[in-house]
Amino acid sequence: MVDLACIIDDDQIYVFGLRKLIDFHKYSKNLLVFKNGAEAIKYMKPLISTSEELPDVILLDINMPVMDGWQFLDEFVKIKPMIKKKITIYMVSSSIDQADIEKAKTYQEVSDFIVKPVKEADLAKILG
Amino acid sequence: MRTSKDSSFVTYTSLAVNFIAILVVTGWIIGFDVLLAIVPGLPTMKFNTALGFLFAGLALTFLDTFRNGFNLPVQLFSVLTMLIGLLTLSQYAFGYSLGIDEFFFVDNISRVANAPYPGRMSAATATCFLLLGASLLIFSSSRVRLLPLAQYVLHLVSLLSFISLMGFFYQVPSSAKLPFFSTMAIHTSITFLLTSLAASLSRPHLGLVGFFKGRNLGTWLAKRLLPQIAFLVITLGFLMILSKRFGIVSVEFGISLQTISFLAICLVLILRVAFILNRVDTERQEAENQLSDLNQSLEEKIAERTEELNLLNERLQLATSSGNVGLWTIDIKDNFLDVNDALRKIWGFDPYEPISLDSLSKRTHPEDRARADKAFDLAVKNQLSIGLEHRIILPNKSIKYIKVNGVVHYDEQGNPFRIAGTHWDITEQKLFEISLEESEKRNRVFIEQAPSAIAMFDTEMRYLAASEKWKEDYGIKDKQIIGISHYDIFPEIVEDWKKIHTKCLHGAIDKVDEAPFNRADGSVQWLTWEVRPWYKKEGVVGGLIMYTADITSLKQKEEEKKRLESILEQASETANIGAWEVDLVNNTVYWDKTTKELHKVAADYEPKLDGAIQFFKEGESRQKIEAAVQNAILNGTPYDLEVELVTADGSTKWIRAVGQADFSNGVCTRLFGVFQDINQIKEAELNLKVSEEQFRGAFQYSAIGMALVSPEGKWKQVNSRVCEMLGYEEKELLQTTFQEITHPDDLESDLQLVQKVLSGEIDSYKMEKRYFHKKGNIVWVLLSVSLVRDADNQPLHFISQIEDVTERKATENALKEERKLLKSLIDNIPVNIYIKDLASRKTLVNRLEMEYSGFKKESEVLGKTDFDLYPAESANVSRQEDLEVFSTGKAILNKETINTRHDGSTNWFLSSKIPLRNDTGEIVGLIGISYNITARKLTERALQESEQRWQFALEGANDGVWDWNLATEEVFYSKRSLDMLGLSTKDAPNKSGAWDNRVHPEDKEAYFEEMQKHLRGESEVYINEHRVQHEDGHYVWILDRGKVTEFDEKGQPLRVIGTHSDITWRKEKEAQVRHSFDIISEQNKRLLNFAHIVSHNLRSHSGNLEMMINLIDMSSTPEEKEELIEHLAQISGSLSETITNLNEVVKIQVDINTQTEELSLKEYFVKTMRILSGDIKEKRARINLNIGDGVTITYNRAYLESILLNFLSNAIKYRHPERNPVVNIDFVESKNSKFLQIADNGRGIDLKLHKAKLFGMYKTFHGNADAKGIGLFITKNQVESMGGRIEVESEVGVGTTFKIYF
Repeated sequence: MVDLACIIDDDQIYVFGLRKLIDFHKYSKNLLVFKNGAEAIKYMKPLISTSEELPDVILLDINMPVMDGWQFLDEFVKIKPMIKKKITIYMVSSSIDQADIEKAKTYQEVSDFIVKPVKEADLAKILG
Repeated sequence: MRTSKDSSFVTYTSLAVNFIAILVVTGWIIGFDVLLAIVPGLPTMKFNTALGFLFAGLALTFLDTFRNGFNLPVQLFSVLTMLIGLLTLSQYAFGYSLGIDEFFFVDNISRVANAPYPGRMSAATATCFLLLGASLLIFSSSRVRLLPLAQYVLHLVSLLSFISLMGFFYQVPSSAKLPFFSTMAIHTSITFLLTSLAASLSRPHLGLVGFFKGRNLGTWLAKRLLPQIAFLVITLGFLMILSKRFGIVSVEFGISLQTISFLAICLVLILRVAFILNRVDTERQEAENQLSDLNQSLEEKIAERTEELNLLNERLQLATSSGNVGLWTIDIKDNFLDVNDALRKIWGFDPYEPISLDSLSKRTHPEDRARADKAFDLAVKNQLSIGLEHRIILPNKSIKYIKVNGVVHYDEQGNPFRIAGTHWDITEQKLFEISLEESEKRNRVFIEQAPSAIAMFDTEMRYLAASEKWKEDYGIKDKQIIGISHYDIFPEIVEDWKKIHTKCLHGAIDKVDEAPFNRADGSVQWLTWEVRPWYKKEGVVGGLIMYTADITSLKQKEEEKKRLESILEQASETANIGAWEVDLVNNTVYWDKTTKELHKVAADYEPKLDGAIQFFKEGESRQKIEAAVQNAILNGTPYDLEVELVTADGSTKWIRAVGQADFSNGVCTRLFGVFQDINQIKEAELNLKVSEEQFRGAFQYSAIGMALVSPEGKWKQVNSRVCEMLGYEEKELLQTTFQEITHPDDLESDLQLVQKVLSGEIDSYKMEKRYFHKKGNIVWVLLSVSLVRDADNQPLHFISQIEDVTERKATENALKEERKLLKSLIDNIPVNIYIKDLASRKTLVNRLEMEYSGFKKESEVLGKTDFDLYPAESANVSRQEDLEVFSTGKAILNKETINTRHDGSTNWFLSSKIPLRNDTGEIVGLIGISYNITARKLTERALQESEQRWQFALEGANDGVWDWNLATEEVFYSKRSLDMLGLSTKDAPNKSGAWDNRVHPEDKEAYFEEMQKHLRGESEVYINEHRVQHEDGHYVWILDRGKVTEFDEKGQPLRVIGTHSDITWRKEKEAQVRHSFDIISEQNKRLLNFAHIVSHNLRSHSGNLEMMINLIDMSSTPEEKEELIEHLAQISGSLSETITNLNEVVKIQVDINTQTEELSLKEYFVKTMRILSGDIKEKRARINLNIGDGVTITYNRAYLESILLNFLSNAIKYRHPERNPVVNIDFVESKNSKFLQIADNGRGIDLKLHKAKLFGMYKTFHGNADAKGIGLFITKNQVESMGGRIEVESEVGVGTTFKIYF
């Protein structure tokens, strides 16, 4: 169980479902949800120095409007050195394009690439 | 959604309401009470009520009857309905009477019953009218926001009337009812219920009706449960009242019984619903499975499609590469001709020009017309297939070759009804074939006239051409060989040679210096040959070219020489000459058979170096030979000695030993020579000595002078001839020495010779010398001297024979002098000079002529005729010339003649023959002067041959040649080079600038650069490909190659020679291939992208489905489940939308042969703006359409609409929040491209971030709620499927410009 998990995804149904699953299994005490990378960055930037309000785990979608997953990662890499808290990022996408999976591997901030739908076993592994 | 069932319910209900109202009004008029109360004693429907229903009914009838917003009747009747309700209510409220209650009729029934307000409708009825009227009024207006309110008001009316109806149903006494409902008649309630329901149904999307009309699971549940629960509850209530009324059970028991029954019923219902839900769940699960199956099969289908598309692409490429195909059909019944656009294009018809068989015939080449017409005629009349090629003449006079094919089509009954076929433009191919034929013909002529033996074959080894020499060499001069197989003409050709030919037909070149050709007649011909393939075009062998030379005579001469050598060998054997050889490297000695016989050793005797010397006689012989051998080894001096040999059997033998040394690197490696048996000669010599005495007798009287002279020179004995010769008396002579009377100039050499004889070096000598006559004059004599020795070999005396040659000598000397001068003169002239007598015998030759004849001494040539010196053929020609000179007396001057020698070498001469006359003027011979011009001739011929070959090679390759003199800037261009540019030799440019100016501007820089590079010596060869303008104006691709061939003394290039090859055809092909490749790569990319899109988008929905299902399983409360099911419905909706979108895209991808037509761009923009007029007005957008009326594009109608709509609506949708949108639309047409430009001043897109995915599916950038990310994706696909592309420029906050290329 983590203290604060974060979902960045524009698919509201997916977010709804994931929220249900997390609540049901009590994987996270609290949950942050952002519709795209820009909103997430906007939230995180002022809180860089704090620990509690930053998420432990981020479940990051790739394909989003305004700022997509890759762009978020690029922004995140910029602010990462100032963050004291360890933040684990998982890419979560329905893409099975090998190019995306390879690209995810080039970011050392990304722990793993999870293909949607997210299984309870996946959640248990990354949040449990 | 308002169904037709709803519509008819509304219509019938409104009619029923009107009918009831009229019935009640009638009841009031005629006083028929049953119509007023239905059941006597119950409240009656008042006249005003009936009137109200009439108004309401009419309002309902007219609702939606009139179109175009004409709502006046509805509004009027609604207001009247409201008014009746309002007025009556106001009476209740304020307790006054307006006199309307019994305005029309007096309500006797109420008055009898002592009702409080006779003729007045109940308050509930009045309220209902007010509400009903208001609702209908709202429905008739367009106040959208009030519509849901009206619907709920109608629901209220339904509820009120239903409550009242329930009162009647449960037979609640009037007094127990609420006063509010007290006097509502039963049919009033029913009518209200009907009216309100009908009115609600007229707006089925609103309120509860909307809910019940929906298709969601909740609605379905409600629709199913509500009637059942209502029915059961009402029935239960009714039973309870009955049981209570008849006192069957107590009130408490009744209530508990009712509660339990209610619970039981609810339980049953819930179980039923749960069961149904479970079933639905199972079905949904199945649907999901099917969906994932569908997903998979979709992916498979896409893979299949990719395959098919690739295949189609290949075919497409094939079709485009082989040019346009014209299609035609002829209806057999009426000869109606139908053709496609490609055929019109081939024939040069305008798109709409009427076209018939006649018009085709008119454009057919006159020479082919009869043939083509006949073929069509036969086809139409006898239903035959067509297959022919013919020429056509286009209106611009150009000639095309076309290939026509056609087959007959039969209907189901098997009757022919149509002929259909194709026209292919095969001009290019034909022209190529013709030029090939011409070049073959040229080659053939070239070969036939070649001076050497050349033949040309096709790939089947049939003769295409053969030179005269060829036919001559192979003895087939009179045979017809063209077209006949080489192997049929020469059946004797062996398999090995055929194999060589096959190899050469695959590109090999075979050269053989000499090989025997066993002819069928048994003779052998020696040949040297070269076989090489010739090419029709690059890489395609057209056949073989063979060069051969008959070297049989040469071969025969060689054989002759060998034979002579063997004869020589035999001859030396019979002359008893033996050969020997000493190998000083390996220290071995070789003796041949004769040598061994000379030494009298056995045939298998093996001589040794030391042993061989031992055979020479000890003493003088051995010393002599040792010294000679030593000298030969050290100095290379050859020797020729007469020595004595002691043979193996001990006998002595005189032999002549000749030896010579061989040197290698200054060291003697070999000695070799011969031994000759001269024993007999030596013996004879000795015999001579014995007969000396006999000689003496003859001495005195000899006709020539003879003398015996002492070794010291004293005359010892002279005959009379000597005395006479010298003028001395015998006595006087005997007192002198020969030295005294010898001319001092001759004395020295005489004495030397004497000394030599004395020393035994020579045996005798002969010399011409001078004596002094006694009188002092000189006497020339020919002196022969030999020494006679005594038995001890001591010199005894000389025997001298002296012949007086004074007279002869005098003439001779004069002549000799003259001749010497002349001889040295003519010997040194580099011209062959000779003199012949009348028999053509050579009487004089100079050194050159002598050497030419192959001799070393003039004397060997003299007296011989040309027949002795040269082969008969040459000699004959020469003799004929001689005879001509002799008979005509005229000189032949500077005639070019050919002379062949026995060794086969041929020389060319510039010959003159001048008659030689004696003193009397008679011709006694001729003087021949021949200037040997062979070297010049050979050079000339070699040059000519190389030139010919070169020319032939170039002609074959269809290349042009240029030759550039850098000093004069002049360039020679060959005819072929000029042909390439359509220039004639007459107006040929001769300056380099003339060609340079024609080079395509884009290629100029590289062209000059490459040439300069070569001139600077940086490249081995100059090579450049560039375009050059043809006289017609079009450009021709040229492969230009060259090399500096001459330099000036400073090493600067002076002359460059090169070639031009026309590579236009190759270049065009290359471009086509590149284009096809681009198309395929692009499509592949699109397909891959599409496959990812499909999998991604379908997966995201199926992922969500899976998740929801998982959650439903986990959820504990019905509310939660319900919420989840609602999500499921949403997912299903999005999924079906996605599939629709994908289908749309697939349609574009698959639809390769999209129909196109000529469309006016402006017209379509105006149409699009009309569609968007609402948005344009609302957003205050300004659209500047800068496109003329005449601008048209060939495009698909639907695509164009979709594309324009998309870009225009995007331009408005993504407008800048702080300014009104302005969109500029332009159409730009240039030489190479035309495009549509749509520029807006909107928000702009950050291309740095988004360019890569701008046109991707489901990609959005602004976070707009209504952005779906599908429009640009489809638009791009449509544009690209029409062969165009989209370019975008954008700046955030400034605007975006899209360019759509057509």
